[in-house]
Amino acid sequence: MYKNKLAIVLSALFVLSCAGTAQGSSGPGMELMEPGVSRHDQASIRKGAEHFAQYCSGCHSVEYLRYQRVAEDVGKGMAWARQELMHGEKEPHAPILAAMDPQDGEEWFNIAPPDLSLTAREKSEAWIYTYLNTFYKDESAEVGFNNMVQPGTSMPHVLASLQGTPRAVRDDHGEVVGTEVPEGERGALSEAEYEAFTADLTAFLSYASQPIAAKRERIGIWVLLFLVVFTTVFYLLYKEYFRGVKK
Amino acid sequence: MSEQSASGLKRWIDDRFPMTSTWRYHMSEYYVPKNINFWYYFGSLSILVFVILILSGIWLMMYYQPSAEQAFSSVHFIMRDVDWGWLVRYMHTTGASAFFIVVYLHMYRGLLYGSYQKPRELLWITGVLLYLVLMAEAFMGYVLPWGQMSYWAAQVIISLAGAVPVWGEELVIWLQGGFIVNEATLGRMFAMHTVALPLVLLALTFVHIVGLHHVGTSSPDGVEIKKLKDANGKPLDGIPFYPHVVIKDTFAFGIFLILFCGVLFFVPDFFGYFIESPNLTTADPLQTPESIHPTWYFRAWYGMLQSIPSQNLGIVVMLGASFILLFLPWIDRGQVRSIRYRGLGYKVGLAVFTLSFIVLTWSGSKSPTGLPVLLGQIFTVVYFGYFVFLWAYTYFGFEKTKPVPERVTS
Ligand code: HEC
Repeated sequence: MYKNKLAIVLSALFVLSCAGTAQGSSGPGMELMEPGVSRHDQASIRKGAEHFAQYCSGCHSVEYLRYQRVAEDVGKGMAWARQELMHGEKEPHAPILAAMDPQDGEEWFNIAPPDLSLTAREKSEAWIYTYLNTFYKDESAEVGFNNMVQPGTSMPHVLASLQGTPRAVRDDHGEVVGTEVPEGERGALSEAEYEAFTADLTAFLSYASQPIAAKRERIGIWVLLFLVVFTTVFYLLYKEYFRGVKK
Repeated sequence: MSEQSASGLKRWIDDRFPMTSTWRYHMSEYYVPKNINFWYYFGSLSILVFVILILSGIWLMMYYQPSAEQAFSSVHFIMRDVDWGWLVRYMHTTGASAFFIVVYLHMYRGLLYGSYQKPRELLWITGVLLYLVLMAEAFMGYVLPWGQMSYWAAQVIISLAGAVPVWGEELVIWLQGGFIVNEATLGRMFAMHTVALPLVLLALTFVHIVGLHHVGTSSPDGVEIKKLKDANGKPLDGIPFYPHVVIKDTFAFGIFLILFCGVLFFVPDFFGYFIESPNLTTADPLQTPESIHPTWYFRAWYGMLQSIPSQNLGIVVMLGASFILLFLPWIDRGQVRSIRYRGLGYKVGLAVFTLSFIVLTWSGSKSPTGLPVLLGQIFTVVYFGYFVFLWAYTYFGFEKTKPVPERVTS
């Protein structure tokens, strides 16, 4: 009977803590799109790193991440990193810094392009993926494009050559509810290819936000297995010692 | 070493240091009721978590830089570049929340079984003091990573000192070491968090355990096992701490560590409860975050603060809510300890009190408008009402208790 009460108390606490969770990740009032990436998918992270070096690192740094670390974690050597990631002569353990001076960035975009080391943890993977997938043409915007999750964004749609020129899809009230690339204005990639491309970028930024995560989970399984054995041994010992005690 | 020389060494030490007698008094001949249950694990678990925090804290200190310029990046240096630094830091962050979970459950055991009643008043008081110091310790630790939430939480909490009449404003400046929270504030938080408060916690824990072993562990029936002893002076219903309880607790440590490591290795942020995402941006004195909420374990108190319109009153109420616990042994005049044999009023009262703490915790995690404020106010009254009720209920003899057995039940 006491056990039952305990179960009730604990489950009540659990339900309450879950109820609180939803409020934590308040977004911009729109449904975010799930990139469906895995931190254990090295190939996706590798492709994302290559895309990032090609399209993003001109403006954005990932200052807490080092070239060598990326090379090791995606199972490639420094030769790959030199060819695909590093523009120019750099130390292997140099941090990934933007080619552009943040000062210039501030002048050109009104705001220095932020460092992306922790963005995936701060804003979530889904936020980044949705951000990259909801640019739409907006003549009134200084950079020519607007964005659904970050209205009035100062980032140009740097992937327009790949995606094409997306237009806003509006509802009856003129609210933007989605984006769509009109036939004939497609870029170099098909819709599915563009989604995969941005998912890889998201996978890389997610990796960048906590490079240890995949290894941490692999180690965690062994730790838990050990603890289960340890606990079982002590459970048996406990039973043995308490045999004469009860009653 | 032969048996003879081993016992020779033992005697040599015992002549100079109370080794064997201390071991007996605190371990092999310290008797605990044989029917202690689930709720009795959380005392030793608190010690386990304390040790985890001290050890991981020492390691973090080897790399952490307490300067406004370096603090944030040194934490991420630990997470990425220091070998196993991520593990040590996650032990510390998960440990902080785990500490509050086990301490809250440990305190709740006291409420369930009347462990604060005579002769355990001082034990309860040192426990509440431990809890109060622990809150200060946790708050200061939260400031150290110097993220946005660290910074603004420090700003909010220190500004509470402004409610002190006459000297309030100067006090705040003195505490901060400046007009706003700054590097000097960080330095003193660091010193307090890593040296001063851990020493206080250690000393209080020592006093708590010495006090416990003097009066003995309470039992789920509220029965004193010391009353009935066999010919050798061993309590009939007691089991020795060593080896019995040690082995039982080690099994509990195993269960606890499975949960602890499950969080640490798979969801170290714990959905934004143990590590909050706004704290992943570095402190910016010029930009106030959209909303400021303390970590989950402070939210019940914060719920009171933010739902009371007058800030000064809110501060008094919030402090009163935790300090009133110190007086619980004298508020509760009940003749019976354990909830098993107490009157219906006590059971309902405790259930409502528990509910008030949970609702206040919820309210403290919402923005201060509408329903959260209304419920915050109602349950603040309920929270304090419980103590008034408990006093009246027991002082005027309304409580109808059940007979307490002579010996512990199984
Ligand atoms: C031409 C410079 C430039 C390039 C190239 C660029 N960005 Fe940006 N990015 C910006 C600017 C400027 C902002 C700030 C937008 C704002 O806050 O209004 C930004 C913001 C972002 C943000 C939001 C960060 C936050 O915390 O708000 C993400 C995510 C992002 N960029 C990802 C990318 C990715 C991925 C690429 C490569 C495909 C990329 N960016 C390429 C300039 C650039």
